[in-house]
Amino acid sequence: MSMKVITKGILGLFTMLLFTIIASGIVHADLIFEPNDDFYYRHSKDCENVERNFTANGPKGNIIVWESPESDKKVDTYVNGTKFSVSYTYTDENNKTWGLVTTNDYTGWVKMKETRVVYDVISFCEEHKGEFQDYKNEFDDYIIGDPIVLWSYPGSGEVTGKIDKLFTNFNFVYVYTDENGQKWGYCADTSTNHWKSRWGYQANWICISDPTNELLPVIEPKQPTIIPTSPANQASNTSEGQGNSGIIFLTIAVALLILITAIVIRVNWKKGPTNEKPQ
Amino acid sequence: MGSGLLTSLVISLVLTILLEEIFAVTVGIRDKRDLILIGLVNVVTNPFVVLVYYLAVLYTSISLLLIIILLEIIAVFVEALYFKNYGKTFRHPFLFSLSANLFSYGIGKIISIIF
Repeated sequence: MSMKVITKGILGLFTMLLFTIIASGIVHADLIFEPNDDFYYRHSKDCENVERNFTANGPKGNIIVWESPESDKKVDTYVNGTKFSVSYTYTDENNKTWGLVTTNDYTGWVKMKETRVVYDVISFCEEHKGEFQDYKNEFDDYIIGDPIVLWSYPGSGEVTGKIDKLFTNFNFVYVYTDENGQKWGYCADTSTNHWKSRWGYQANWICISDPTNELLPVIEPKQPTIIPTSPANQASNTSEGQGNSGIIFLTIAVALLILITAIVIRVNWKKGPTNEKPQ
Repeated sequence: MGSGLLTSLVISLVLTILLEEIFAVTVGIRDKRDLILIGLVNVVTNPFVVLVYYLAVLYTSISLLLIIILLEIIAVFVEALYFKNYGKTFRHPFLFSLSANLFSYGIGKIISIIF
């Protein structure tokens, strides 16, 4: 087989491989935001979309962000209390769940057991779903005056919007009574079925007892306490600096290796093609 | 962090040299000095490619695919220039460099998927 045929074959295979990689990237990007992470690309089918905020809560006062669940390379360290977003989770063969962290500078994986979720509407609905009651037209007679305040969840203190007129698919699916005796209506957006599969992103809560009050009291959720970070743990964050010095050292070593090899070639190999033999 | 990178550098370099030497012998290069040159040229290009890739992943948000393509293009050109200037039996230095790099990259990719 001639060199030409081999070369053509290799080039053909490579072109096919390149187009496959590019095409698969486009399809993924079309469906959902996909993080730029090697491990995620290789295990995307086993990853679950989460998109929730978490707080670092490691037993040693900090958590490590790893390059991947299979890597021993540290990418960053978060002291306990640091908030970050997790886009996807992955459960490995040892049943350990890992969360993918994406920042402007890097992507990395954290052990989910070393995190605490930032209390949100999903947490609220999971905690109180047993207390939810069916809506019994409690809000039907309400005559709208001032704008109705929408909340992320009862007692959150987080206003998500206001409604200044009634709209037709204003659907209460549940009613909840908080510890202060205030009644809340869980108002799902019926244009999507999102609320059926996961509590809430498209839904809002309205305080049926006091719908226009923007200053309703915040009710602190019951959550595990954050393990405090000791000065020693804070000091361990400087390991990033040590990692950087390791990289600087390796960069210098690689530069020297390249330089020495280039000199060796220049000194020992004569310039100029002779083409004594065909390939 | 440094030890992980050092391991990657060493494994990548050893594998690349091995694969490109196999490729060179397969396509008919027998000259001893040319075979040594292939190894040395990879010492020039491979650690650079691995290190820059690693630093780009760590410190930038540039697309990984774009980084790989750019670095491989640089490697192919640098190696081709060395083979052209210092090689004795490379009839088509650029074609050889491109093919050898495609071969080693492809086999390396398969190995990384398997392991």
